[in-house]
Amino acid sequence: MIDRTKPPALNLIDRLEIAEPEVARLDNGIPVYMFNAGKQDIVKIDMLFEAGGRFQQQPLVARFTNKMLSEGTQSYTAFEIAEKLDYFGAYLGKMAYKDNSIVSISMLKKHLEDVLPIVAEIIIAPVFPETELQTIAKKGKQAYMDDIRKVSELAAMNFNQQIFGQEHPYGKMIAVSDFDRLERDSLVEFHKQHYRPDSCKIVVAGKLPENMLSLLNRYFGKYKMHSKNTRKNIFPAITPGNQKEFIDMPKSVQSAIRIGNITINKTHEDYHKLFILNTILGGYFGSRLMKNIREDKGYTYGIYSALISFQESAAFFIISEVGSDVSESAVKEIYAELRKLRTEAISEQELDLVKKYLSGSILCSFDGPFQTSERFKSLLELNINFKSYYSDLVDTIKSISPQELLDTARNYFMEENMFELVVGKK
Amino acid sequence: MIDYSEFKLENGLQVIVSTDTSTPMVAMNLLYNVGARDEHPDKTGFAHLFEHLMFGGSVNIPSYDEPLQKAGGENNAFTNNDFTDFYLTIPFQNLDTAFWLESDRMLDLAFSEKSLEVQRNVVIEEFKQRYLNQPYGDFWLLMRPFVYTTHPYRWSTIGKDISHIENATMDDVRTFYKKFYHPKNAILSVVGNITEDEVRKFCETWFAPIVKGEVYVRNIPKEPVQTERKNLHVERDVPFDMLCKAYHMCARKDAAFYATDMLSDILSNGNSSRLYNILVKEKKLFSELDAYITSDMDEGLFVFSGKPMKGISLEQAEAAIDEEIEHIKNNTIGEKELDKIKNKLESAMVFSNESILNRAMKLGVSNLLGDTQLVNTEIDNYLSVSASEIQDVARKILIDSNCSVLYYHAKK
Repeated sequence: MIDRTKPPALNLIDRLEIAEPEVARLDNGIPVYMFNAGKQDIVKIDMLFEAGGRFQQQPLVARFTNKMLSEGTQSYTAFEIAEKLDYFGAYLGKMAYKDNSIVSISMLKKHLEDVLPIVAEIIIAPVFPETELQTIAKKGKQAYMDDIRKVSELAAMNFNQQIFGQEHPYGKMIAVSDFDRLERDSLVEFHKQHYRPDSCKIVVAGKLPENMLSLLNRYFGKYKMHSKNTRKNIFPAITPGNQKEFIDMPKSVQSAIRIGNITINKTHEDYHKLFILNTILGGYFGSRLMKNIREDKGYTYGIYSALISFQESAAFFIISEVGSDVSESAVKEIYAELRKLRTEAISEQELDLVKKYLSGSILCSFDGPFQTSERFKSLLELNINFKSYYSDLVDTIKSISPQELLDTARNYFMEENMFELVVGKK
Repeated sequence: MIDYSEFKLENGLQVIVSTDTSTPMVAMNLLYNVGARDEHPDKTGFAHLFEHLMFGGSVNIPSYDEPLQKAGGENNAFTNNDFTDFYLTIPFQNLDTAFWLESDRMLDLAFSEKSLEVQRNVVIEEFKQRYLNQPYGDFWLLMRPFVYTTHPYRWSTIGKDISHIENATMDDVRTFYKKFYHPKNAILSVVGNITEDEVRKFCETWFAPIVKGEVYVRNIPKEPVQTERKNLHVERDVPFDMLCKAYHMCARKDAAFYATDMLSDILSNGNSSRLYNILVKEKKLFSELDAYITSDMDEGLFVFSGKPMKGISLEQAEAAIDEEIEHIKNNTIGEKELDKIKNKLESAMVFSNESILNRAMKLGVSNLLGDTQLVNTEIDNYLSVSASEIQDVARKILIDSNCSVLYYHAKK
């Protein structure tokens, strides 16, 4: 009979082989990074533009410029674009973030040449029809009005404003009236300024055809911008709000909690250590916050902590929704967990577990060309070298000591530097 | 195309293996053939509560998560009305650990009072977070008992009422486990960098010694045919009105399932679909609008749900949906539109086969449907559907006597 109380022997996962992309340039200078691998006949193309919210003069302009790219071009109406993409079973994704905006397209390899001309139109020749803008803006406004009834959404929006300030592009909150102020001309101008070859990077992944590069060149390598790049990089000072905030939602049965602060981003030399520390705190299912606040106290369905890197800054925050009656106790426990990280060295046992967990989860996050290109893309946004970032991370995971984690917690998790926001019932 | 092989252990556990050496990982999916539909009407929410308890330690292993994390694995689980699914991914070198963990919690659980108490609280907080503390969050809690009179689909997986979870006792929990959590009632699928022989060996070591449980014979009351349209008006503190029209449709294994799914695609899949284009973009009547099917194993629902633009009444909104329904009933679907839907389905299939975890889940569900080969052949069932078959489904089910309408009014 097998002894079930004895765990099977474990193999150490200490090797991480990372595929590097093939790098090329289109005729107009756009850099292209290609991950040619995979079993399925799928191709995914991501186009990154320096066209995020930080470049806009007015709220929502970056988001709606991005949203409206496929709502009509010189040659096609919004419906024709949608119909063609649907007909070829292609998936178009558009997202505007704080620093960058992204247009991505995934399709079966056999439809590449059918789909690329449409994507080229979307990027190069959108016309931002007034009527479509009205419809999309109204839709967006209604969705926003639903969102601000959710404690979690409200907490997310307000917390950025609390730590960065309303004047800062990473902190500025939108208002309902911003949807009514959107004008076609601002979108046209924003597109002209920010969707240009000299602010674009392309990442391609999948089972690529041999002529991939020449196809990209045909559709995206010819266009040029005649105007000078007059992009403004506006970065006013950070003007944080109160350290503790409460937003009253008297009818809610749960409170959303956010605790955190501005922190270092992925380019900082301490980042990997902070990343490991954050994993211990709230970065995986077995984290201390989950164990204490969900699995021991039953206060919540979930509690996490996260590090978000921007080009010019970064944010650290703990996030949870807890029963209204236990909101104060949960906040206390969160500070207690931060204090523990600053004052008590982690046990060898827990550290060993976290190291092994991280090694496996990093391996898993490079499974296949699409996962790999996702990892690559998020570093490319910050202009960080892919290979050395991950080899440093793997080395740090191997070598980090309890003392280094204590030092990191004392540097980055000080209670007096934390901002706190609770949205819910008093 | 997914290549796989399958075998059955003597204790009844069904095993499916698919080898893929291009990945350093293995995905393991363990599906238990028990969902909210198998619950007693006075003890609802149990299948889901039980999913939580499966992480509270098993007879020989105090913690499920820690050893898995140490082996570099990740895992999760979900419960729906039809089945409960546990899944994980792990570096192939440590697959032994996954078999050790999954087999021990099939063998027997630790059943600690503390775990039951905490997970009851966690589930109650989940109930609040998903259903009570969101605008429109109670939508399915309202719809199910309104649309179904008899079939256990009349309650949600979270349960009819929070009190059922609050009152769950250790005895209830043990009985539930004994009845449903045994080899005969489970399907194990393993996909990734592993051979069939290796999986067989692991199964012999870890799963084969588990004793056969008693065969569970599902005996669920059938939902009677609805003969009259039903209306329900509610008022909630939300920003906008919402409309929902639900029609009864066929079961997952019914031949008409594919045509019904495609009917919802024509109406609502993609930005060029009819409802989005005509009612959202052209007529500007809705801020959002969807048509979809619930894909349940037993007779399910064909649902329209949408939020009218401010200033558009629920009646106007409904009339506009009805007009589209009449249109598809009375006009032939064009060849191009049908091809578009088929292309989309084909593409969706290739995309969903990209991840090993998805493949493992699809193999498990196909086996549950009675034929593992469906994982590869189901697409042909879609591609062979004709325009007139889709139209027939519309004519048959999208009729007033088969319809339940929820008018969700925003409090003025």
